[in-house]
Amino acid sequence: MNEELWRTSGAGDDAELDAWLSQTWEAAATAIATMLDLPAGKEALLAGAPLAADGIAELRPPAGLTRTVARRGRRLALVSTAGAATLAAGVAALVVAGASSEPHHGSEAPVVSTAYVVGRVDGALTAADPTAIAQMTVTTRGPAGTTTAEEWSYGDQSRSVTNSPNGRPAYDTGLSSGLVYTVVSYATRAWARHHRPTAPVSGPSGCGSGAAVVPLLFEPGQTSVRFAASWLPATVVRDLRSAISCRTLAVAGWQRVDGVDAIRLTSRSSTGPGSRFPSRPDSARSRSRGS
Amino acid sequence: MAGDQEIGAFYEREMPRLVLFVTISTGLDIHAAADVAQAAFEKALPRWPTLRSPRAWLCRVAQREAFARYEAVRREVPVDAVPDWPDQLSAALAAELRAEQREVMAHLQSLPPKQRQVMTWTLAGFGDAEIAGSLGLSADAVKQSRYYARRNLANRLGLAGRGSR
Repeated sequence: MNEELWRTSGAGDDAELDAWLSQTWEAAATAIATMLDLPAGKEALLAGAPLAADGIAELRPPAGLTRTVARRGRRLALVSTAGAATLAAGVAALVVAGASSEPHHGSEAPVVSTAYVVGRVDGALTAADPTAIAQMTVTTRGPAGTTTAEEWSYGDQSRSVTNSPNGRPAYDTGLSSGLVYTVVSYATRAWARHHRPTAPVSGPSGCGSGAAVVPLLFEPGQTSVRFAASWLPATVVRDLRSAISCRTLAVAGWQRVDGVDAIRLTSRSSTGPGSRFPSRPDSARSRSRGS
Repeated sequence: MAGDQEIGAFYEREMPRLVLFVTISTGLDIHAAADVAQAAFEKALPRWPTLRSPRAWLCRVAQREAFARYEAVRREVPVDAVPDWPDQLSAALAAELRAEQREVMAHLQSLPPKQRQVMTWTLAGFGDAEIAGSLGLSADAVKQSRYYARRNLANRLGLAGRGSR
């Protein structure tokens, strides 16, 4: 603050008020500086706004959902600095390090992929206080590159931003009041708002959309709006369990990935509309119901 | 155009202050304020050599952009709220400030619009003439608004009657 101007512009001489205002202003500016990704912002500025050049600026998605990479970084910083104590119960970390054994080919034979899921996801999400913010990062590595999804949930609201392998936002979803979700696809420059069905879309014995959606996460570059709309933080644990019990995913062992204990999961899925849900033997179904 | 290094240094120094300025003066949350501030910088870049007072120009443009965005958000409102915005100040910013600083920020944001704007411009270091020109007010109106703003703040902070005018 310009103290001289402040004092000579009719502001009065209450030193205590001046001090409070000045200190607060400086403290807030300093705090904001730590939250912003200033180097990234500066680079984007001096590079001539490359995000706009990619057409993202031309999107007209619903207000509040457009997020640039820089904003995502700031948001992460905000979440991480919001206080570990208050968020600890609600913060989960999910790391998926997948390696598809073969490339994805539309509706051809099932694709096999292997993933590693951090074991503490389950406990963290299950124990999460509904009033706390749950946040997690999903990283998928594969032949096409690495995709990262940042996801948050708060009560019955949730938000997910997924980046393509080149680091650009691919799609963005928000769930409001548990019933209405909004999806922005940056890749197709489109957005949509849907009312979420109150009952499972399809699939016998709970092996519906959730179980089918999980393996799609392991396919790098996946930008399907349908997938994004179904992939919500609040349903992660349920969907993982469902996928395992439906044998869409199989536990293939345990391993340390990036220094954390991980469960290795194997995925067998296909993308054909009629074969999205893989068949399974009756014995497996009985076991899953009993679990 | 001025050197990238010079502009970059200016950006790193002023960007946080511009974000703060926007969020306090307009009520936008920190995330939206940061986007508005970035957009203002992007608009300023091609005009940089002709800007006599880049800081004042950025504040004016950012404030206009913020109000436009606020209106757009108010009209659309496709979702109830983003999950990480539990209050007016972001949780993260609130966590960074001490209790009395949070109180000061809250009181600043709760001032009537004109008083809040004048106070924000003042705190950002602008003089009466610049504030009057930017807000379309007379210099006397600026002084008057600041007087009432300071009196309100002093009352709310329990400093009234201790010399604040």
